[in-house]
Amino acid sequence: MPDAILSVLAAAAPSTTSILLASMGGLINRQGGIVNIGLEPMMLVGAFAAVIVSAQTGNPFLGLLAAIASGALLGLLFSWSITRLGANEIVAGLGLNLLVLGFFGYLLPTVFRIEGTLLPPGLVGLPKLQIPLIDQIPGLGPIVSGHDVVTYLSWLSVPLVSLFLYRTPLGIQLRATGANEEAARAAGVPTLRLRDFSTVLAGAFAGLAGAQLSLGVVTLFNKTMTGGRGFIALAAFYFGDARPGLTALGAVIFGVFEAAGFRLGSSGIPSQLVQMLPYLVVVISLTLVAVRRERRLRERGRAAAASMRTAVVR
Amino acid sequence: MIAETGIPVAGQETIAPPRALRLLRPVQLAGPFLIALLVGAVVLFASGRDAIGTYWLLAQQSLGGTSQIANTLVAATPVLLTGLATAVAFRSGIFNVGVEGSLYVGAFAAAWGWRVDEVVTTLMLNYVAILLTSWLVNYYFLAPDIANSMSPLIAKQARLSSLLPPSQLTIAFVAALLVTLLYAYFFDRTRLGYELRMVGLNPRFARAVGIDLAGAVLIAFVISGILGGVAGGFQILGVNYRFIDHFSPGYGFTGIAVALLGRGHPVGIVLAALFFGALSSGGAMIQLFSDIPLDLINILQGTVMIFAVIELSRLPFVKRWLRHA
Amino acid sequence: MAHLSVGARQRLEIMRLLYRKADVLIFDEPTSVLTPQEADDLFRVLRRLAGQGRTIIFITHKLREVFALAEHVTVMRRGRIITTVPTKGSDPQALASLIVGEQFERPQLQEAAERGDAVIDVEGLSVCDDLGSLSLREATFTVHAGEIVGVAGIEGSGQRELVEALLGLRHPVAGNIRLHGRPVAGTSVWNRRKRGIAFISEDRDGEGACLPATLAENVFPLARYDPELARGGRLRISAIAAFARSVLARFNVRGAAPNSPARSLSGGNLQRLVVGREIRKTPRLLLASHPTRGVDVRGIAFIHEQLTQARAAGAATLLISEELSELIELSDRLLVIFEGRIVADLPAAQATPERLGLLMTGAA
Repeated sequence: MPDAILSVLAAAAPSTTSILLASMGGLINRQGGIVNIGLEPMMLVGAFAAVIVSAQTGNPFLGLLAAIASGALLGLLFSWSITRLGANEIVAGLGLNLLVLGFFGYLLPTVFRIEGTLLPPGLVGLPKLQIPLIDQIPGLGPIVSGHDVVTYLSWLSVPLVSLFLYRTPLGIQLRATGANEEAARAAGVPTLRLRDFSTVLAGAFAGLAGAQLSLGVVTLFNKTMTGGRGFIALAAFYFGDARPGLTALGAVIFGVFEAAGFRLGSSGIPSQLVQMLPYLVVVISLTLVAVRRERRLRERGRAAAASMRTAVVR
Repeated sequence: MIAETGIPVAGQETIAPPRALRLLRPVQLAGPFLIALLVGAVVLFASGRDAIGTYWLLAQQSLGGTSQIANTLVAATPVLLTGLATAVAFRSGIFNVGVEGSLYVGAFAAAWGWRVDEVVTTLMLNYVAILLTSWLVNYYFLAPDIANSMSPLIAKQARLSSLLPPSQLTIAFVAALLVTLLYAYFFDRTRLGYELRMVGLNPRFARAVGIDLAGAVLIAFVISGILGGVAGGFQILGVNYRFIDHFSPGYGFTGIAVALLGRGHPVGIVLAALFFGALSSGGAMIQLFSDIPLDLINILQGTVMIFAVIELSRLPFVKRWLRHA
Repeated sequence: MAHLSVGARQRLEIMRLLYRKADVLIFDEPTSVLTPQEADDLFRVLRRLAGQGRTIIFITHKLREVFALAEHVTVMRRGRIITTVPTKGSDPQALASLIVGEQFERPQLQEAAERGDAVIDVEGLSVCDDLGSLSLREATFTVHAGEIVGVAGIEGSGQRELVEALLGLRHPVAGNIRLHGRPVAGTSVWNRRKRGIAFISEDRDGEGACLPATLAENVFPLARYDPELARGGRLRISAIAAFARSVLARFNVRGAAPNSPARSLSGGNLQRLVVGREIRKTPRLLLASHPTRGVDVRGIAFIHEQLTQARAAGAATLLISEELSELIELSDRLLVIFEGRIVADLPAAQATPERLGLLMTGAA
């Protein structure tokens, strides 16, 4: 049984990567004041760009750069529609999902003349890095070692995002923009540009996440390969209240769910029920947070009233 | 719980418009539709296809004869209902993006007045509903004789009969039109509709004049959920005759596009539903006659959604034109 | 910063502007959150800045401040600049006429009425704000029929929470509210409105009216259970339009049809509509929160007239305002609120702006 758990965890590491990266991008965007439900299409664009550039150049790292750039570009266009043209972020995000999904569904059979999977000749995936010594440790080794470089980047991104948001002037201005745009603007913060910047970052993170799927987890592209991970990432940063640590925890939990889902499918537990968990966890945790907030407010008020009455001696 | 949805709905114009803006209004209404067709044409052209020919084929295959029109009406039925479902929520100030599966928990959360983000919860509940029904059909209601994940066919007597054989045009379409009339009547002519509308337009105002917000939200969610359910039910009884795993090609999301393109107005919603119905019935046919995949429809639909919420008057070149006019 | 007084925070804000070497300083109604003494302090600072060669633009609707501070005054009406004149050689009466657009004389107000039974009894009422901190502390007072009770206090001293608790928008954390001797705890807003509580909101555009809706829809809500206007849940559209027309005519809302959008009305006309909706039927208890804020001189006179008429008809009124002269002129009795506590309850005849100002800041 512990072996089964360890093997689930080892499988969870790569399946967490894309969720973790996309959720970091999404939380930056959220802190900047935009709920980004376009992470999924940004991942898909990144996955596609990575495959094309890696196949053309034979260099998967150029593929990663292309994924980052294309995700960032899509993020910028998406952001403009919201910040400059007044689009509702949710509707624009849903529209982007349909548009990009439709685009690849159209592109593959008409231009690449394939149904399903795109596997261009010369495509090179990301190498797996074996970490000396650590990979020898039984149990821990396969969990920590033997992943692609993006997975390690995703681990690194959590403290970096945290540092950026809470310790740099730019990050603090970004959070001020998200917290109260009008006040931030009055204080001279270029709020529109910062919101655009946060969406560009979200796009870059999502693009990289997509590339990890198409060059790291597998080495191919198809239009369903993101499989709702952009929405799981949304679930993760909602679960984590847009804070890096908690969000990462959420991403890891959901990654484990996903890795476990594959395994449980063969053991008789319906995979649908396991796949449902992230979404249910978010709905329940959002509800619990709201209930707790209401209750805490009420209790604080009552306590304040009570303490005041004892202070007044008559 | 209730936020400014920012969704443009008829009768909510923000300012008494100057003349140039008034000139722009028909453009703003037809704009998303035209831009989507333009985007589709560019995609067709860039991939070496004949755009005009494709659109002509699309028009013929969706409107060019009795059976084509019947198929368009069949395809319009579910999205008309999901469009109305979405519009009910929008006009009540609720952003229900989970028409496919939001009813229960969303309504419950609203009923207790917790401030839960309805966009994210309804979005998440979509997945829950899809996966839950997938589990049910795969584990408990699986048809024994076939490999795909479907329930057995429903009894012949339970199926809706065709108004125009051999098409699948049933009473469901007429019922959807009646629901549209009810929708119009409800919002314009009933006290409850008035109350929901006020909640949607200005929740603080509504609260101060004594409208029960939590109750209004609950009612809107329930109506919205019921309409979504009716859409699904008609699809089973009149078209598929069985429950099929993941059967909805995004009817709920098309409903959002329909509600937006129709600006919440009943006539607009019907026209938008017919437009999307024609696209999907025509699209299904041209997939047979050419190598153009049905995904083209998703491109058009996504473009419509994005441009339905973009304020065209804020585009730089439109601004310049407005200044001249 | 949260522990600084509003006046001190304002001075800090001004210092910040000066630190950034601002040459032109724009103030938009800065005194609405200040006591008269603090306002005088602010004026002294501004005059010194002007003396140092800086330009001060000061937006206000209080004529007193214009003459206390400015050298030149620009009069605006409905988005247009009417004129710019030096303040020397002008006087408040002349300026008022410019603002209104024609010669204007204040109508005579109704005299104080006979004080009747207690309408609302508030006892030990404590209310929290949205963040859970206590903003009204153990308020105890009574308002009688035929009486206007003014509430003086710096904005944000708990007035809003008091009104919300009375109307049922907010649950108190302690204390009792009795309407005609019967407790109202736990009853809905609509229930209280049916029992005769009316409410003029200080936030006309955000709460008092529904701007995107039509005028009829703005007049209608309190009458929506009237069987003449809605039978069996069905609206009677033409009856509602006629009803709206009659209210608009009676309260002199000019230039508007029942189905034109509320957004098309000027602030003053919209406030007439709101006042008309609320006091069409004489309320038992009228909660009037800054009823004349952002209203033109003519509209102010009209609203004063309506308030005193309602008093004559037996309404109990709780009047909240930042205009101390308005409070003293209209009220029979004044409550002074400081940091959420009612620190004084005095007959209006004994109140002067200076005395109120001291009480409002906890100095007396």
